[in-house]
Amino acid sequence: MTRAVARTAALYLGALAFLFPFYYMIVGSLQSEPDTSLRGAFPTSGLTLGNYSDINSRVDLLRSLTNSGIFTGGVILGTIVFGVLAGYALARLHFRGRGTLFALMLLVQIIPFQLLIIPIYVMIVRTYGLADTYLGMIARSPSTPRLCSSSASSSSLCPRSSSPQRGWTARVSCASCGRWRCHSCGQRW
Amino acid sequence: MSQQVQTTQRRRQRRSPQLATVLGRQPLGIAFAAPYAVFLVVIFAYPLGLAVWISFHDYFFSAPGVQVDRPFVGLANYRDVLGDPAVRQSFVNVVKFLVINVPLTVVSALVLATALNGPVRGRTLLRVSYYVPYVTASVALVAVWLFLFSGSGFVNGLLGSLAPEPSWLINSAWVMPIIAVFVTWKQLGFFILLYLAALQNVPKELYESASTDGAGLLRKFWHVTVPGVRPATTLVVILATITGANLFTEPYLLTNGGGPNGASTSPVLLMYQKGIEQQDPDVASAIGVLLVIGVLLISVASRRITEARD
Repeated sequence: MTRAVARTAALYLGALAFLFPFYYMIVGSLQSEPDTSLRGAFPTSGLTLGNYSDINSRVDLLRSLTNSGIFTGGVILGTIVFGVLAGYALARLHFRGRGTLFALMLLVQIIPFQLLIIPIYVMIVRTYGLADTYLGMIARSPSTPRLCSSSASSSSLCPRSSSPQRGWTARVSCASCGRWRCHSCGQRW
Repeated sequence: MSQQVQTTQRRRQRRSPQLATVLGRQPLGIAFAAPYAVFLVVIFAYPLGLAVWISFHDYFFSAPGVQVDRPFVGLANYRDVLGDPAVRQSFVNVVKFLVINVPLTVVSALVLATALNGPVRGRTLLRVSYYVPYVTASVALVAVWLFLFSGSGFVNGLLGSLAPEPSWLINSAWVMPIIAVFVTWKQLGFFILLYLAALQNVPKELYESASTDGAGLLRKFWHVTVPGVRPATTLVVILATITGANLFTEPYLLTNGGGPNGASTSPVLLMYQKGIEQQDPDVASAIGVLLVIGVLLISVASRRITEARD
């Protein structure tokens, strides 16, 4: 009992420590003048919402949020389509080049994006002419190949959780491989 | 039904043995993997090959359409890089970072995951609390840590006379440990998640047997939990090493591009400075290739060490 109480208390203290910077961020956003001292972390006066109303005068908030939404949607769509397809193939199917593709997928995680930033800039901007476009931003984003690799790695766990027997049974029943995969693997998403 | 399935499978295999030899047993996998493979080749493999090519040539930027001579210089860029004290300092900084960050991450993540795996009131709330820093943008959090660890900041206010002089982020001895703690804090949620998943595969019967044999909490943790999650530990070590070796955002934002006397300069930050700011992409590419080789070697070594008993 004492051990359980001590564990719970330690976990909550840790959670408070983890969340303290977020509390500090919120308090700072409500201060009219920044106060980094010890007392400033627990203000009793001088709080204002003026910083929030000033956001749009400093940054075009609607435009930047729209850009983020389009960019995020594009990356997610590409990740799900490429990642799940490749993940299923790597996990369940045996084909020429499977090992090479898996090694390349892991290599994506290791290579720092800054090594590729100049060749990608030359390729996207000068070769394909996609400067200042959403497609160029999504294609050259460092998150896109990494998210695809992570998605492929994690979706390679997905078909393992369904029995091979189900797969072969479905195929004998004349279901197309794609339809079975959508029903079996896609449902887990 | 099982026999019918196996019969169908054998019939399909007998139909085209030559095709199976060339394309594998299930060539449909090539069609499924092709979009991702093409994407990787175009967006990743080609730029990587170009970056390696750049590292062996005297490469510089030119106006679009202008043909210039970029001669092959062999290992000259690599000799310049290895002879540059700033580059050597950056690799030492990353080693310092990894020595603090990786063990701290592994131990903290495993201990917290073990604690969160047990019966705790408000477990979901606690898990979310530890995960929130991972899903928050580094740029936003860096600003908060800048205020927290500034000379007149909250942390120095708490420590009083014990606060270091100069303050944390402008102190060459403390800047890298602070960055290591920041990255540990930021990423711990993800690794806790990995360990939580791994802990589900540790059989509960092992804990019951250990309890029956009189093992206490610490012995059960050391002799049941730690060996049981060894594959996850290998993955955590490799991922933490890769993340640490590719450190860029924190040194760039927390220490304004390198810290006091380059004490927080990372190889990737140096690549950015030399490649983009100083227009030396050949030197930057050479640093990048050396970094990738170093990370690969460390990853292979750490995997061998963590799986040595298997």
